[in-house]
Amino acid sequence: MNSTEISEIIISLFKQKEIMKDISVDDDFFDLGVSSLTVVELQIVIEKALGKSVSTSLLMGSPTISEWISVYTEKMQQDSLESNNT
Amino acid sequence: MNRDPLVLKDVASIHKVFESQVDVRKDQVAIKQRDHEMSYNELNSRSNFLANHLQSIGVKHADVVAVEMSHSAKFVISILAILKCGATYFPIDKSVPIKRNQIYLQAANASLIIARSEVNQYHIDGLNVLAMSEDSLFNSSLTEFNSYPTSPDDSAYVMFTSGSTGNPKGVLVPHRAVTRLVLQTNYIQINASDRILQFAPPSFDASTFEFWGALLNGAVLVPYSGIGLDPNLLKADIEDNNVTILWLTAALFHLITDKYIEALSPLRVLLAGGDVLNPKYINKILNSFPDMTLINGYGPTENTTFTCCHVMTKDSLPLKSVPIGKAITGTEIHILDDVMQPVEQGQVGELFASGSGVALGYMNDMTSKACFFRNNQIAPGLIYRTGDLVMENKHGEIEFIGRKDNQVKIRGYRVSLEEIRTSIVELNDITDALVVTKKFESGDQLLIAHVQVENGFDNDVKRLKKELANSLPAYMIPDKFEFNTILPINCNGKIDIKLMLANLASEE
Repeated sequence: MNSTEISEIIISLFKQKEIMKDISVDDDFFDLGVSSLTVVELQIVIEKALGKSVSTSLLMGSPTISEWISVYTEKMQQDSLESNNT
Repeated sequence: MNRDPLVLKDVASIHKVFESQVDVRKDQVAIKQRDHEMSYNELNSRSNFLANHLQSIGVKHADVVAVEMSHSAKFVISILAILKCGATYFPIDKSVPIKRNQIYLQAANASLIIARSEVNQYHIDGLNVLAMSEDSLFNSSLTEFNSYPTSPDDSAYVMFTSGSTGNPKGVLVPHRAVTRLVLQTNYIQINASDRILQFAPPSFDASTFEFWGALLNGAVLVPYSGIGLDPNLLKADIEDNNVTILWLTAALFHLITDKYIEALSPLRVLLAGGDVLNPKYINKILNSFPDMTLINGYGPTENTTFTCCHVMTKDSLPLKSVPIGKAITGTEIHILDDVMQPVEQGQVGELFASGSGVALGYMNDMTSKACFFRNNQIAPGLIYRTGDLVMENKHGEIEFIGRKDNQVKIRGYRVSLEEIRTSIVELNDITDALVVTKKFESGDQLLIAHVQVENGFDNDVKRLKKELANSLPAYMIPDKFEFNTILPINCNGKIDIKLMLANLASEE
């Protein structure tokens, strides 16, 4: 999966949440009044789609769509590097 | 003296029951967190050492000692040591703003805080600080300690609740209320082979069930390895430690069951509550895991964690609504009308609780007669008025109807907003809802439902209203539906009605 595909998946899952419909990729979603439970819900559906997991605290500390895309893209790259090395 | 831990219920303090478990369990595991295990003997001798130190710096019977740390063995050692001195523990939530904690600490008249660092960030006169970073205080052992002969009626802990008037109130909970919650009760049997995840914030009273449910029954307490909610850590903690018993707040139970149900598969018993449970998710989880028992736990902090519990298995799935069930052992309930007379079965009344679960009162407001009072015609001892409306159904189970203060009169009818909400949440594609009334300049008052919908929901108001007409009289069907709303959740995982209303007001 390349970074374009990752970002498409993440954006489409965000847009499925009513409150995220009009969000742009650089909006801080806590400013929209999004609860931490909604953040965790998005984390769960994204991780199921990507097959990768990262810590919630990292995601909470990066509360924009574009930051989430880089977090998951890095995680994908790291994991593929590690599996290449072994 | 009979040392059977179970027969000490009602006659002994929390720490005496714990010490009698130590005599029985000895080197069996008491606490397991990641790779670390601590036996009953070790936990006891470490808390003896800390208790001895606390005594040496002046902690005595009836003092309040605050504890500011997250899920850890050190937390458990601390609260045991505090109880062994005859003192009262007071869990502080680090995520609460400092100003608010300052108010709590002053209201509780805390003399000492066991804090993460030795810096006293609260700046309260007379509040001493003991830093949990002083490892030697937490990992040294003392085999013998003469723990205080605390009476079952003495206070064990203080926790703050919002109270119906909005002012935070410190609820003072006695030892007997805790032993009645976890020993020889009718809603659960906790065995020595059980492992209970300590997942609730310690400042939230579900932690009472977790700590003492495990340690007074000889079971294993598993402190959660994260700080905030992290679904991957939750799943790993359950799997890696073979957790068998877990408590979740209603909103989190709904989310995990909906989106991440596999995390819950190893559990023997799942308890959920704190808000109204959606039968849809209870059906889902019990159909997915047919051996699991699900317990709806209901109760205000003022009657110590649980007042009523409803136990469900795949053979007793809920239909339209999830009852809160029956009073737990040691608690008596009374459903009364406005003139304090019992209502008949099937009639709605306000729930009052009496028995050994009732707290001693509000710490900063002991004279508050409105919520805690005595009336021998209802029951002996202190009685707590919950403000919750309930009804006993034909099976003798209690159904939650709503908050008394959430009742409104609309178009001349008395309406429970909670009842409307329950009907909305039962509909397909709706995950949560909040119903409010709104007054307009014209004098009109409208019922407005804020609903949280599933992905792909078509926002068809006509269909919604039609479906609601199957379960509600016309005057109870909301006028307007708002879909673009996410319902805010407060720190206890409940819908934050106050914040919601504040948001609505600021939109106008």
